[in-house]
Amino acid sequence: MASIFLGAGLALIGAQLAARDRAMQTLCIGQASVLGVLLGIGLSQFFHGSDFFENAGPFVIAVIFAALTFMSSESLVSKNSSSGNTHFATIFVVLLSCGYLVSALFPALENHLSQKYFGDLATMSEAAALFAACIGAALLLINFRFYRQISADSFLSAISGVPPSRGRLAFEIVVLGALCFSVQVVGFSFTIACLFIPTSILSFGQNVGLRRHLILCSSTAALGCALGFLLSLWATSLPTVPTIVVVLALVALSTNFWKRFCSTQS
Amino acid sequence: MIRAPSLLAVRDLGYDTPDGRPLVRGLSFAINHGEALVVSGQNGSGKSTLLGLLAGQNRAVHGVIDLRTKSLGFLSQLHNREFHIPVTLSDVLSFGGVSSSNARAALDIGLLSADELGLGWNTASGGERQKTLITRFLLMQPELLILDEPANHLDFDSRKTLCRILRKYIEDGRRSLIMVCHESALEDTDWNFAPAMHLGKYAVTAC
Repeated sequence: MASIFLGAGLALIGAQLAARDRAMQTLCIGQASVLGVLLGIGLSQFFHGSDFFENAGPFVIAVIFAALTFMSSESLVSKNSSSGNTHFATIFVVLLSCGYLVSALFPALENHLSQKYFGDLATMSEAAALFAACIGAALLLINFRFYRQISADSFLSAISGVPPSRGRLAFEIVVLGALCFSVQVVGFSFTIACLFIPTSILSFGQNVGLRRHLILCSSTAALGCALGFLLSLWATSLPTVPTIVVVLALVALSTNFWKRFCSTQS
Repeated sequence: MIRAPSLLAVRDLGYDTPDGRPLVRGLSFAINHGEALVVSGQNGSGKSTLLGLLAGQNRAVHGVIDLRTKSLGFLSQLHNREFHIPVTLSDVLSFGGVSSSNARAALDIGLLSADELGLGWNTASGGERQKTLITRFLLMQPELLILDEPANHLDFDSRKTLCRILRKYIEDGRRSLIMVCHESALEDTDWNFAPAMHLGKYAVTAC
C-alpha cells in the first residue's frame, strides 16, 4: 500500500516538475537528499546516544541539503538560464562524489549507501509503511485539489518565463519534503522512477488533456508499483525496487498503447 | 480640485542590461483608466524590457514606477514553446480561472472558435496559441493589461478582430492597456492613434 500511494502521489508531482523542465534539477535535489541522509546516519553513529541524530537527524539534514541545493541551483540558472542542464549535471556529479566520500569517512555506511539508492520496500517497518502511505495520500489530495493552480504555474513558467504565483513557495516546500522523505524511506531509484517514468512515457501520443493525463500518470504509477511489488514477492530472487521500476515502465508503455488504440477506435 | 493619481505613473525610469549597457533612460509617462499606451521602436530599443519593468520582472536601476493596482495581466512575447503535459487550448483558458462550463465566454470574445478549443497546445499553430493566451487574459479582466506584440503570428482578419476587442476592453473607462506593437502590425486595421478616440493617447518610442 505504501508504494502504491507514494508512487501515485510522486507521479503527480513529477508531471509538474517535468512541465517546468526541472527533471535534472530534481535529480540534483534527490542526490543532495541522499547525501544529507548518509551524513545524518554517519553522525548518528559518531554521536552515539544522541536522540536527535538517531531519530530526526538524517531527515532534517537531508531537507537542509536539499533546500540548499535547490536555492543554489535556482540562483545559477537565473544568472544563465540557457545552460540550466549543464549546471545541474555539474551539481549532480559533485554531490554524487560527495556521497561516496561521506561513505568512505564512515565505513559502516556502505550498506546504507546502496539502501538509499535502491530502497528497502520489502523489509520496511510497519510504521514507516503507514507513514509513507499517508504521505502518498496527502500528495494525491493536494495535487488533485489544486491541480489547476499548480498546472497554471507550471504552464506560465514553461511557456512565458513568467515567475509563478504565490502558490509556488507552497509547491516547492511540498516537493522538497516529499522528495527527502521518499529518498530516505523508499530510496532514490524508486523516487525518481515514480516521479518521471509515467509522465515521460504518457506525454507521447494522443492529446488527452490535463485532467486525464494526471489521472493516467497516478493510476499507472499505482498499478506499476503494485504489480512490480507482487512480482518481486513471487520471484524472490528479484530485487524489489529495480523490479518495480522496470514493471512501471512496461505498464506506462502499455497504457500508452491502450491510449492510442482507444483514440483510433473513436 | 485635487486630481486623482494615475493608474500607473513612471518617472525618470532607467535600466541597464546585465552587461552594463544602458537600455532605457529618463522615461516618464502616466496612464489612466480608459487609456491605451502603444510603445513602438526599433529592435533592441528596450520595448520588451520596458514592459518587463512595468510588470515587475525586471528591476530598474533608477526612477519610480508608481502602479496603483494589483490587478495586472502581462502577456510576454516568449510563449511559442511546447509544454510537457498534453494540455488542450481549453485547459490553457482554464488556467485563468475560467471553468470549462464557462467556455462560452471565451467564444464570445471572438478570437477563438469552438473547434479550436479542443486542439492540443503542442499541435496548435502559433496564431492559435497567441489567440488563446490573449483570450485567457481578456477573460481574467485585469485592470491593467500589458501585451508584448499581441499581433505576432496573427493573420490579417485576426489582427482586425484583436484591435476591435482591445478598443472595447478599455472603452468603458475601467481598464487600461499598454502594448508593444510595430506600427506595420496595425496597418489597415481600424486601430486609431487619435487622442479623440481616447485610444493611443501616447505613442512612446523607446529608443
